[in-house]
Amino acid sequence: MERLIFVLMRVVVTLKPGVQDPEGATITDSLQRIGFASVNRVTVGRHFDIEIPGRDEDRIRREVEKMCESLLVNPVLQDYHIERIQGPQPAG
Amino acid sequence: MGSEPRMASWEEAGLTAKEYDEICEQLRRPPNALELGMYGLMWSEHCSYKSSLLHLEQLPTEGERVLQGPGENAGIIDLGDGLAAAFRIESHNHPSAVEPVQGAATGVGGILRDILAVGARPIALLDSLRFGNLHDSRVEHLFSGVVSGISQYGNSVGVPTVGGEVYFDDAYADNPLVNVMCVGIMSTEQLTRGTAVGPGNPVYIVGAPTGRDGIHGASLLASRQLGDGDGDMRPAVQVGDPFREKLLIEGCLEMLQSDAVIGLNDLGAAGLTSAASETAARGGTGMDIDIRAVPRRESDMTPYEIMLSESQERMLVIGRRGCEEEIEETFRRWELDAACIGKVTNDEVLSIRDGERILAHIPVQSLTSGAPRYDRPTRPPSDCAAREAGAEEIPIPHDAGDALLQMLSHPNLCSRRSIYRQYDHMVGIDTVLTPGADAAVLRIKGTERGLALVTDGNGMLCRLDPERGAAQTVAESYRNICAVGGEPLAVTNCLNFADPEHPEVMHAFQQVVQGMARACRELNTPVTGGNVSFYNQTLDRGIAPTPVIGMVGSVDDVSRCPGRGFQRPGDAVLMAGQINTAKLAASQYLNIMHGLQEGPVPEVDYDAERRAGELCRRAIMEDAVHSATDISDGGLMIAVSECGAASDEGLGCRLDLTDSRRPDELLFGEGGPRYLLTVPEDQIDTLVCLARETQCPVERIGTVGGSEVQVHVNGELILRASVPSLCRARGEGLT
Amino acid sequence: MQFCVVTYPGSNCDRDCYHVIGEVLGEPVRYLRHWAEHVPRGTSCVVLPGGFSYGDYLRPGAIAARMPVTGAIEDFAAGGGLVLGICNGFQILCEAGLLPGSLIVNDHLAFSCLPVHVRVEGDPSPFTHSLKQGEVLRMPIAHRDGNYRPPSDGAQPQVALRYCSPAGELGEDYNPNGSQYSTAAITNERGNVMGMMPHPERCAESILGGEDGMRVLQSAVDWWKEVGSYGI
Repeated sequence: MERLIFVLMRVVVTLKPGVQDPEGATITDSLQRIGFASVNRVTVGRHFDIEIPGRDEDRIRREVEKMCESLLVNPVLQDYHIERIQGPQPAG
Repeated sequence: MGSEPRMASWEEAGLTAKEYDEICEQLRRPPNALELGMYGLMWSEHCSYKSSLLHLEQLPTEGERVLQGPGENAGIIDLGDGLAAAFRIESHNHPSAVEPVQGAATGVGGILRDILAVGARPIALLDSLRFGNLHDSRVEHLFSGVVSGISQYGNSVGVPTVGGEVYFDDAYADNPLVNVMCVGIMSTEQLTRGTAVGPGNPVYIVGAPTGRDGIHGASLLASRQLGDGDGDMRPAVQVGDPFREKLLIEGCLEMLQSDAVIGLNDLGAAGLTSAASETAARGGTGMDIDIRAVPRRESDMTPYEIMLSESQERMLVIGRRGCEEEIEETFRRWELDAACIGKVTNDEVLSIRDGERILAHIPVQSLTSGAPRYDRPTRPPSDCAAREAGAEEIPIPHDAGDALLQMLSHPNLCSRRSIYRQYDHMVGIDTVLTPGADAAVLRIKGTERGLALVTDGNGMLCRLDPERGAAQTVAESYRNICAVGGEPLAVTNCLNFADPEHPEVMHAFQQVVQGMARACRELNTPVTGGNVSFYNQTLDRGIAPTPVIGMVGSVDDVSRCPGRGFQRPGDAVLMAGQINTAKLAASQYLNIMHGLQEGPVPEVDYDAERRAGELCRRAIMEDAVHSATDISDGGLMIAVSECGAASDEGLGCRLDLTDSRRPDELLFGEGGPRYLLTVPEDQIDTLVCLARETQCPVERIGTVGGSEVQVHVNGELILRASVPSLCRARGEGLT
Repeated sequence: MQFCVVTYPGSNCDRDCYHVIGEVLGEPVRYLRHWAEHVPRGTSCVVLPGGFSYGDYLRPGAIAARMPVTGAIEDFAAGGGLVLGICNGFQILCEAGLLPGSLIVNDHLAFSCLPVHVRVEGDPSPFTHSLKQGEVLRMPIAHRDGNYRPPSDGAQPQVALRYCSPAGELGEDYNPNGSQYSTAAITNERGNVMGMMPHPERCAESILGGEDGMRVLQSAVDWWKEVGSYGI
């Protein structure tokens, strides 16, 4: 049997510039308070690693873009970009 | 020796050589590795109660209201009108010490499923928490983690967290206590048991797939001491999924509307092994399970891992033969997997198969009631800490007002608002008295009635005198219920102790159970279940003996529940109960202001308790009072300050006391049942009559009014503080 | 006036809303399950209750906003039906685009369950129809993500309620979550869709400490009787 070939894509979601980021602000403060005075600003984001079977990276990237626009990203607040982490390569 | 496989394996399973021999005898052969692992779980302290059971038999467990006592997933009491309340408290101390957020969260999840398992809808959570000194950053991390775990899980699953307690003492620095109580409500017809009956009936596992989480949680985490290397135990801690829990609650409750389900049981500590053997043991049956049918999160799991996994949000469902389709369809609608993993048998054997291959074959009774019972040696403590407090040697405070503010801002006495505002205490729209009250009160929709709920513990008193301390803990819970107008009905308990193999610990345990048994008998509040948590010890430092009581009371008319805040200027301030017996010995005043935890613990005067409780309850139900509270930790002045702080109008009061005692004893002394009631002038006669009828002393000590608390003793002003300054002090303790 | 209360699998204020509408407000009410594809005919108002609709692990309301029933509610709103989103319901309405902007984590990052005061603002809506501009109501909040952010295009939403002092003053001290301009509730342009973070169903009975929540629900009923539908 042929082994499953897949691509692993990472979606990184960040807040749009200018959107209030209470988590980032709190972490910035905390880092400065414990001695990392050089920290200017921390912003908090999130990533999703998505495993999709197939070899055609372009097609898969387009599919992931659709996922971002339909669920993973709130376009009012967030920006995103997609990175290829692995593949195409056999699973397992 | 270490290389001998037999030796390594029983120790890995958390058993002793003698217990291993006992297993061989009961099985009439040596167990294989899987069987040994299953015994390790079921014979662990956590599951078998092997060190405590002999003592627990003393507890009164029966009463006219008790529908179901200990031994099931939860105790159940009859509320009348076809309604019943199910409740239980359980510890999640060890998991919370290792990973506070998930440890506390899964503690909430586990107790919810215990209530669900008896067929009740969970309607309230209470948390009894104990930590070390907050100045320690490690303690701060544990504290904020536990609060956040409770908040994340409870809020999401939609069961309100309506009460509880938090206490800080060095005794808990290495071993925090996280005890969670859940209360559910049900119609008496819906009572479900965790029983597997009817050979041939299908057995389902419903909910989350089984993963590698929590393996050895019961046998190792909760049945031994924590050491320095406990970072390594982290993978064993489970992660909670409150969303799936919510689906389980709704799915199971819908399932119980039909008769397709015969029994329910949580897969909690000890996972499938425990759920299968307990349900079969209760039903006097056996069970045949094919582990191939168990849905898994990872594909390469061994039978050992599947049987020992403590993955959360799973229930064992014993169905009725012929109803398979209905069961699967109902759960599917709630987006839950229901996998049929086997069937009930009549051979009283728990049989685990992988397809056709038999992997384990153990008589059910051997796993459950076959566990050893230990009468562990006891020895009274060598440094008997209970001695007369040298109260005369303590300087009388220069400024009683300063002392009061200092007491109020201590973490043990200050406002808990910064904690409970993180808990959704209102979802379900039944919460009549919210956290911050003496006891929480929940209405029962469609009736005038309600439930009064409280948890209480006092490690300091129990360390000084385990028997009296335990009795005082029960009495204090009783007072809290009476102070909101409730009639105390029954208790559940969580007994938190250090290493039971230490004779002094076991001595304290035995004394605590004795004190609790007497108090529960005297106050007519039978024990319907509970939990024992031993090994709350790190190296040679053990916790104070800490029995935590969860008490349930019934309220006849929730619209009369007054709360403790001062309501109207001109109301008389009355004290009812044992008015002049409070002492500084074993008080929070000595502890906080002088760093002394000593003094004889007063004995509970049960006649006085019953009389004072009845007076307070009747005064409330006859609508004679505007506010009521019980005077406990910190004494009279803490209670008065709380009444001022809880007043919507910021009202204070003027107290006029005639007394020859030291002022600090008068203001901050503790002991005995004492209720602080405020009563409109035209109701004072009602109180006088009630005092006569109940034979409970009542005395007027002051008048509500102004925006200050003033205390005059023998005509002289000795304390004066504005209500805003009291509120400020109370708000400072936990920031 | 027929109400429907939507139940997503993780809704947990659905039973509370159902109780208050049926037993306290005294109007006919039924549940609308998350798999439904249509709002039943004859429905006047759909309520999206609070809770954690799909666990809210991604973003609050994000998954619920993409369920078929939410599409049906969109059609219903487009036809002029009244839609009230409470707490998680408000978050779902923003995620679904029925209301502008979004709700992010509170500025202090913690869950807050406590009573707050809100002031009625001027923009007309059936849900504030019977209330006077400037009137102050006391209602509880219970959320972690209630910090309102308007859309990035600079458009300002129609505000129905703002957090305020008991006397009706605005200010940081009275803003429990950092919402821009102390926004507690907004409506769409037409006014028939409202999202609010406070829980009216939790303060609809005096035994629970207040009845101000009834004023909002009663407004919708009054409006329906006086004005009727949006003329469709």
